[in-house]
Formats: sequence, structure tokens, C-alpha cells
Amino acid sequence: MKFALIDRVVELEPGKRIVAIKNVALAEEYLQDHFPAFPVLPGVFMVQAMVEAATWLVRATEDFAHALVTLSEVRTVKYQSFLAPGDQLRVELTADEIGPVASSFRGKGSAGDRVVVQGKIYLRHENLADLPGGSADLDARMIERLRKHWELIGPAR
Amino acid sequence: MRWFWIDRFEQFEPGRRAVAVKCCTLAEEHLHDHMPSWPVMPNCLILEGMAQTGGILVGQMRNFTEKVILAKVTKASFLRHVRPGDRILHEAVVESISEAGASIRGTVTCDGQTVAEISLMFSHIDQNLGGMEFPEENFVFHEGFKLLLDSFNIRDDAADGDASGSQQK
Repeated sequence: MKFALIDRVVELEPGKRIVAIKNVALAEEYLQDHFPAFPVLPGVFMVQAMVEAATWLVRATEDFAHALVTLSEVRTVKYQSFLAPGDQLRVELTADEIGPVASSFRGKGSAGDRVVVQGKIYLRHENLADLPGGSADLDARMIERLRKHWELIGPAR
Repeated sequence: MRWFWIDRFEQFEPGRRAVAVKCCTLAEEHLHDHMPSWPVMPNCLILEGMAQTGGILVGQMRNFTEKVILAKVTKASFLRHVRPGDRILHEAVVESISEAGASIRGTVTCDGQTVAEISLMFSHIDQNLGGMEFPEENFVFHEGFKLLLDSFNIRDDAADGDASGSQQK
């Protein structure tokens, strides 16, 4: 599979807030295991959709200053309902803080008028040049690919 | 992508704790997207590995009759990256269990270093309907899954502590 849990960004306010969409389709292979008689989006993928939305908000805010923006902490994520094929998950993330090397967000996921998930997530911002085996050249290449992906899913200009 | 985020159990002490292994390999397709040119295991899948380790531990306590689903991530902290070639261990310890559900506390390690600390709550959803609709049959621990559990060797009387050791009896 392509590991991409956001299909489209629908609202963006750099530094503040992002709203994005993840469609749930029976064509997604992992749904045959989760679960065969009851395909539903795994809860951790609701979290991943929130994480990816937040990472795009960070990149849009700091103009892709970091190659690697990853989840560092999850707090009090509560699941309230299932998401089945045909449902559309709308994740809305509000930044509490976007600092130079870390950020924190409050997130909510809904489908129609049903809230399905909410919680807090924290991200870490890094460059590969600062990690074992990384380099500034790798950073530049990854950031170029991320910018191309952003052209695919970012808000219409 | 299939949905199996542990490869096997190394230890299984019914009602108390379990240790499962997950190997991270470049053969996993998603690592080629996450991230481009620097593969690293998505932390949400480390979270799922703990949910599967803890969910099976909790499910076994009711002989896999309850439908055990993840209800809450109380807290999860991720301390280092997991990359292809790494072999991580998910250790889940039962904190509490009731009719309504259970909670576990988990630690993920790699080569003795802590990778993540994860606290989760599970729901026995038949006891907490809350307007949700789902099949009556046990869609979580279904027949195909039970066959896989047999290969893990942790069902019923097979669950006597050392999962890998009991396999050789």
C-alpha cells in the first residue's frame, strides 16, 4: 500500500489549524483483516490521520524546515464509534504550540455529525543530518518529495 | 498491507503479562513511503502492536468469548525510531479487568533500549453497547484468528508461560 492516511486537505490556517479528509474504502487491503466479518478503520489509523494532518500543518507553517516530523506522544485518545467502508473521516487539528523542534495539537475526528475520536498529539521535528546515517543531502531529497506530495493533497490554490 | 503487527509471542503468562516480537523489515511495503529515502516504522503501528499484544492477553482471560476492542490510548510516548533490521519486543502487563473491559501497561524495547511506553484501555463491547452497531458473532477473535492463535500456542492449557518452549512439547 501507499502509506498515506490523508486524501485531501480542505482547510488550512498556517500556525493554527488544519482540516483534512480520509476516505474509508473496501479496496484497502488491511480492512480484510480488521475485521473479516466487520471491516472498520483501525483506531490507530484514526490517530495516524490526525498525525499526518498535524505534520502537514507543521510543514506549511515552517515552510518544510524539517525532513522528519514524527509522533512523540499521544495523550487521552478516546474512540467513540466505528468507521466503515463508505464513511469519510474528517480530522480537525488545532495547534496548541508549534515550536522549532516540537509541536502539540488537539485533534478531533468525525464522520457526518458523529464524533468518532478525539485526543492530544505531540510531534517531534528533526533533520536527518542530525541523526546517525543521515545527511543534509538526504534531507534535501526528502523535503523535495514531501513538497511534491503536498502539491497532490494540499488545499486548492 | 495486512493487519498483523506482531510476529509471535515469546512469553505468555495468562492473566498477567505477555511479550510479543515484531521484526521490522524493508520488505514491508509501507516503509518505502514512510519515509521517502529514510525508512522508519510509523509509531502508530508500534501502538497497534501493543494493542494486539494486550488485546490477545485480555481476550485470553475470558477464553476469547468477549469482543475486545481498543477504547482509549491513555498515554503513549515514543522515545526512539525503529528502522528496518530492528527487532522490537512488546511487553504488556494487565493492570485491571472487569466485566466492562480491561487496561494494560506496555513497554516496547529494542536491544534493551526503551522504544515506547504505552497505556491502553480495552472495551468488552457487548457490555458497552452505547448505540454502536456491530455483528453478533465474535468478529475480533474469529475462526481464522483462532487458527493463528493455535500457531502462537497460547490457547487454553497450552498457555503455560513460555510460548516458544511449549511449542516443542
